Amino acid sequence: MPRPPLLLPSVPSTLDPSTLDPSPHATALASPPPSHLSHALSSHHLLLPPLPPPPPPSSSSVTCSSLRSSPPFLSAPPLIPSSSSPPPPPLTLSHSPPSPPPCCPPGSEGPGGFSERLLGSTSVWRVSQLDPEQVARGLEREAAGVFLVHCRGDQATLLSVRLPNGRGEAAMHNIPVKEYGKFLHLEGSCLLFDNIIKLISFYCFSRDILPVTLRLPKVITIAKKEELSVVSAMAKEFCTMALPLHDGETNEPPAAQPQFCHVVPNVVERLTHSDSVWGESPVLSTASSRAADEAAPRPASVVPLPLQRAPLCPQGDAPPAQPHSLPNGTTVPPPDAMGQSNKLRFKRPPPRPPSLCAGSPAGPPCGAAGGAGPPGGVASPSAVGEEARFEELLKEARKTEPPLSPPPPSRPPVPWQARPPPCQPPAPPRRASPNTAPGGGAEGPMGEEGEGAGQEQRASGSPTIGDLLQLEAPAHSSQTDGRTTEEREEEGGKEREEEEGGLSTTSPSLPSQSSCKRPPRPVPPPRRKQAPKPPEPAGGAGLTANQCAAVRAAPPSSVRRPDVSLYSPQGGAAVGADPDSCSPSSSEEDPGEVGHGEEHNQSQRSDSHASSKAAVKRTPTTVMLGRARHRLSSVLTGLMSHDVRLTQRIVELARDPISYFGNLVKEHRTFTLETMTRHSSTTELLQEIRTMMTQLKSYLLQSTELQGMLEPQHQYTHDKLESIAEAALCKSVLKPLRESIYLRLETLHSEDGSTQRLVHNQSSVLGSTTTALGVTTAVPEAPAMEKINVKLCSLHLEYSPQRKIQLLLKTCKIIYDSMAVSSPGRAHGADDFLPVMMYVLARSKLAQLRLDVEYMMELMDPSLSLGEGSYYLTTTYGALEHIKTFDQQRAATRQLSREVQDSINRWERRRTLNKDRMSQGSVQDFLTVCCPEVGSNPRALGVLPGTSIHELTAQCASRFEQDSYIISLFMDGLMRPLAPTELALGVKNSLPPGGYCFVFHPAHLIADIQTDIVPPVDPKQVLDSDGPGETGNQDDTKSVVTLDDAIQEQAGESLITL
Amino acid sequence: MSSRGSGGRTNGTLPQTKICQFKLVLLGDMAVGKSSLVLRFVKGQFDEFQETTIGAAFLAQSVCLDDTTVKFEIWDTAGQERYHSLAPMYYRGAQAAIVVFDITKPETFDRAKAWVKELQRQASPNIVIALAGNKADLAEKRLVEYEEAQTYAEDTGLLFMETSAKTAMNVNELFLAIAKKMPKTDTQNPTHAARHRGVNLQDPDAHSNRACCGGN
Repeated sequence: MPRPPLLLPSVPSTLDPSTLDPSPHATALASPPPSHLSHALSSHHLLLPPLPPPPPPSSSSVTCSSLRSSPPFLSAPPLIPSSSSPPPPPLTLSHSPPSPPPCCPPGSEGPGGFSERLLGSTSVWRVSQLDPEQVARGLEREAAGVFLVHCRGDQATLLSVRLPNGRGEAAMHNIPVKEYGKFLHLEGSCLLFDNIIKLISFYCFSRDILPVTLRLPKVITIAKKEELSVVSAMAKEFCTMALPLHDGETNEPPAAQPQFCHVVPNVVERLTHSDSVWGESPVLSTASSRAADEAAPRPASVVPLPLQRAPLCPQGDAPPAQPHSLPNGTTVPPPDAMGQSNKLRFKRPPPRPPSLCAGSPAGPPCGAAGGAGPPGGVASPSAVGEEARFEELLKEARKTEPPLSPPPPSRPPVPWQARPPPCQPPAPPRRASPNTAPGGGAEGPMGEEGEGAGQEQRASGSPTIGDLLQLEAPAHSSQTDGRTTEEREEEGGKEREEEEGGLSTTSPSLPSQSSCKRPPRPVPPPRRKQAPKPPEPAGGAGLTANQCAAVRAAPPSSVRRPDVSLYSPQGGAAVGADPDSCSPSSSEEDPGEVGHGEEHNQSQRSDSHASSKAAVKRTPTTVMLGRARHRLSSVLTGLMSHDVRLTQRIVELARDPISYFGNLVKEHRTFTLETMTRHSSTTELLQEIRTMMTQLKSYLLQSTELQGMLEPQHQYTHDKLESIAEAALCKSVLKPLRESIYLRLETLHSEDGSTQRLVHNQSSVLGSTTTALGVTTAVPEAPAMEKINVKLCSLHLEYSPQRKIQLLLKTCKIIYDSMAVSSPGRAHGADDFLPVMMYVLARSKLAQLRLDVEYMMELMDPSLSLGEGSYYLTTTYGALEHIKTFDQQRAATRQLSREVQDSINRWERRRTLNKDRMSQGSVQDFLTVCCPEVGSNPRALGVLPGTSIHELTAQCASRFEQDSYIISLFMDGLMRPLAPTELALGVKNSLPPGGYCFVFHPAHLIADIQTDIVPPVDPKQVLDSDGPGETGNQDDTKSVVTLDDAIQEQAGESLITL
Repeated sequence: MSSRGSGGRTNGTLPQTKICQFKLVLLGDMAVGKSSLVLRFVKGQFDEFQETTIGAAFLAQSVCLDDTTVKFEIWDTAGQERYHSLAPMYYRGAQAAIVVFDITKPETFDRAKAWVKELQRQASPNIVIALAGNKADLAEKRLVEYEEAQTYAEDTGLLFMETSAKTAMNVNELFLAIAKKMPKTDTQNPTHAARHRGVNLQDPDAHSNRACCGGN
C-alpha cells in the first residue's frame, strides 16, 4: 500500500475513514496551548539554526552556486528568519511532486502512491483556520509525524506536527510556513519549495529542521484510491460541519470555513478555486504571518518575519496585506458566507498577483496590486521580466478562465465535496507543472524510478501539453491548469495529481506562497538540485537538518538529470528542464520560431491542445466530454511528443556549438554557403547538399550524442529514428539554407536561359486550347485555381522536401476534385490527369514551381519510398519539362530533349544508388579524418563504399586545403600509410571502432614517426606498413620502449611535435 | 524506381511475411482502358490491401502470393501521343509493365508494339512486360486476332492475356501472373533481384528480351 515510506509508527488504528484527520481537528479544539507550540518552534529554531546551504552533492552543487549567486533569491529574507544563525542561502526545492515518487520507492508504496495519497488527502491534512487547540486536539490522537497545515484567518500558515510521545511536554510542534518570494519554506529552513505539497512531500522524507519526518495518517496511507477520495470528501464535509461548532466555541471557525472551502476543490472549478485560494493565500501568508506570530507566542518567529520581508519590500507587503487579512480574520464569515469570504480573499490575492501572475492564472489583477508588492519584490528583480511575461500570459489565461474563477469563490463547498480529493487545486498543479517544466527534473526521476506508467502518462498526458504550452506562455499554463483539473477528475489521484496536487494543496494554507511558485523559471536550477523528496526517507540526523536535507535532496536531483550532460553546453535552462516537460515545450516553441515549416504538425498539436483545454474550461456539464477528449488528446500528444521531443533535441544539438554534431552541422552549412557559387548546375548543387545531409544523418544515427538523447523507456525503430533525424536535419540544415539555395538556383537558371524559355513557353501553353492539351474533363475553375495557387505558394515557402511533397499531393488532389465535376464518380487516370495538370501549371508561377520541383527531387531523403509522392513529383517535373519544350512539341518533336531524359535517368539512378547505400548501412558512410595530427581538427567526410584512399585523399585535400598531404592510419601508436587503392570503408570496417584514427598529414611525417617507433615495436608491423619509415634509423628508436603504451605516447608526441 | 520492400529487412528472417514491392507502369494508347483495367484489379481486391491514393493515376495494391505479399505501385501514363515523350520518366526503374491495347482498334496494337520495343530498349533490362488485349467483351468487334497477339507475345517474351475491365475477365489473373514472375527475393536491390530471377520461368523471357533488344 502506498504510504509514506518514512512513516515511523503506524497511525492510530482508532482513526476511521470518517474520523480522518479533519475530524479530529475539528472536534479537538481544546487542549494544547499555543504557547507550547510556539515554544517548541522557537526552541527548534535555536537548536537547529538554519545551516548554511548544505553542500550540495556534485550535481547539486552547481545549482546551489547559482542560487547563491542570484542575488534576489539568496539575499532574500527567508534565511534571515533564523534569528541566531546567519541565513544560509535558501535552497529551493523545485518540484517535489515528480521527485517524490522516485524517492518514495524506499518503501512500500508505489512511486505514485505517496504523491497520490498526499494529494488526495489534502483536505485531510490541510485545513484552514483552526485554532491551536483544535489542532492540538486533532493531532493528539495521531502518531508521531502526523501533521496538519493550517492557518487562522489572516495569520501565518502553520505546520503542526505531532511529536513522539517521548518528547518532552509538547505533543505538537508548530512551525510557520513562510513565503520567500514565490516560494515556501519552513521558518528556519533554507529549503524553498514551490508549493505546500512539495514542501510536505519533502518533509515526509526528510526532517530537515523538523524533529520528525512527516507522515500521513495511517488511514490515508492504507486507504485505497477510491477510499481516499471518500475520505477526503468526508474530511471536507466534516470540516464544514465542524467549523460551525467551533465557531460556537471560538471565533475562528467562521474564518476557517472559507479557507476550508478552498481546500476542498471541485472538479471544474478547481481552477477557479485554486485561483481563489491562491489569491487569498498570498494575503494570508503575508499579513497573516505577522498575525500568526503574534497570536502564537513566538518572539523569534515574529521577528524573523518582519525582518525577512523588510529587506525585500519594507513593510510594503505587510501593511497592505494586513488590512485585508484582518478584516477577513475578524469577520469570520459564516459557512454560507464562505463564498463571499473567498471572493474577498481573492481580492486580497492581488498582493499575490505579482507572484500569482507568474504562478497562478487565478490571481486577478486586484490581487496583484496589493500582494504583488511583497511577492514581486521578493521574487527578485531578475525575475521581473519573466513575471511580466507570465502576467501577460496570465491575462490571457484569465480571459479564458474568468468564468471558472468566479465559481470557486462562491462555490458551495457541499456540491463539490463529492470530488473533493481530486478537485484540489488542480490549477495550481498545472502551474506547478509548468514551473516544473522549466525546472526540469521532476519527472525525470519518477519515470526512471519506477513510475513507468505514471510517468508516461504524465509525459504524454496533460502535463506534457501543459508544459509545452507553458514554456511559451504562462497563459497557457493557466489553461493547462484547467485541463489538469479535468484530468485529475478523470484519473483520480494519479501521479499527475502528485504534481498538480502539490500545488493545489498549497492553496489552502499557503496560497500566497504557492502563487509564488510561479517564478518557477528563476527557481528551476535550484529545483533540480534539490530533490523534493530525498531518497533517504528517514533522512539523516535532525541536528544538521538543513545540510542533511540539502544533501539528500541533491542526490535525487542528480539522478533526475541524466540528460544534463548532453545539454549542458546549451545552458542550464535547457538542460535543466525535464526531458518530458521541457523538451515538449521547447519543441512547441521551436515550431513557432522556426516558422511555417514545422507548423503543420505542431500547429495541429497545439490545436488539439487548445481544443482540449477549451473543453476543460467550458462547464461542468461538458466536463465528462472534455475529459474524454482531453484524455484522448493527451494520449495522442504523448505519442507525438516523444518524436517531437527527440526531433527538438536533435535540432538543439545541431545548434549547440559545443557538441561535435553541432560543429559538423555548422561546418557543413558554412561550407555549403561558401561553395554554393562554385556549382555550375543546379543538380550538382543540390546533390552536394543532399550528400551532406545524408552524411550528417549517418553520423548522427551512430553517434553517442544521439544515443544519449533517447528516452530509455521509448524504443524507436531504426526507420523511425532515421525519419526523426531527417526531420531534424531538415530543420537545422535546410531551413537556414533554403533561401540561399533558391537564390542560387534562380541565378543558375536565369544564367542558362532556361527560365526565360520556360516563361516564354508558358504563355504559349496558356494560349492553347484545352483540346490542344488533351483535356477531356472539367478544368479547375477560378476558386479551385486560387486554392491551388495558395497550396503551391506554401509549398514554395516550405523548407522540408517532404512537406513540400505533401503539399504537392494536396494540390493534385484539388485538381482531381475539379476534374470530377464534369464526370462524378469516374476515376480519372493519367490520360485525364496529365493534360489538366498542364493546364494548371500554365496558370501558376512556373519558374518558382520549377525550383521547388528540383528542390524536392534532389533534397528528398533518398531512403524514403516516395510512392505516390514520387509519381506526382515525376508528373509535375514531366509537365514542366513538357512546357519548356512546348514549341518543339508542336513542331512534332516526339521526344523530350535528350537533356531532360538524361536528367530523369540520372535522378532515378541516384535514388536507386542512394537507396542501396542507405540499405547497406549508412553508418559506414562516414569517416573522421584529423589533420595534421591525431586528434586535431577532426573532420567528418562522407565516403561511398567504393571510395578509395586515393579519392579520400583528394577529398581531404579540398577539405583541408592541403594538396601535398597524405592519409595514414594511426593505430596502436603507429602511423600506417594506406595504399591509394585501398577502400576507405574497407579499412575502417576492418578496425575496431575507436581504436584508430585517420590522419591527413604531411608526407614526411610518417617517415619520421615510423623511424622513431616502428623498429622497436615490431619489425613485422613495419613490413606490413610498407611505409617509408621502414628504412628509418633504428637508432631513433632507442628511446622508445617496447611497451605499447610507451609507444603510443611516443607516437602521439612525435605527431604533435611534428 | 527500384522496388522497395518495406518488409525488405524482414525478408530474410521471416519468409512468411515477406513483402515485395514493385513499380508497375501502364502503357498504351489513349482510351484503351488502362485505368479501367487497373481499377478493376484494385477494386476487386480486399480493401485491407488497398492503399488510398488521391487519384487513379497512381494506385497501390497488394496481392498475396503463397508466402509473399506483393505490393504493386501502379504508375499510369498518359496515352496521348503528345505526351509520349514523358513516358520514359514513368517506366524508368519499373520492374513490371503492362502494355495495353484495344482488341477493337488495330492501331492501338501497333502502338503497343512500339511501346514494347521501347521498353525493351530503354527500360530496365529485367522488366517484366505483360501485353493485355483489353475490351475482350467486345469480341464481336474484334479487329486484333488473339493468335496474332499471342504469337507476337511469344516472340518477344511477353506475358499475354486478353482481358476485359468491364467483365473483370483475366484481370486478376494478369496481375497474379505478373506477380509470379517477379523476383521475390531482395527487392531492394535490382541486381539482386535479377540474379535470383534465374530460378524462375522468367529466364527464357529474359533471354528473348535481350534477343529482342539486340534484334532491334
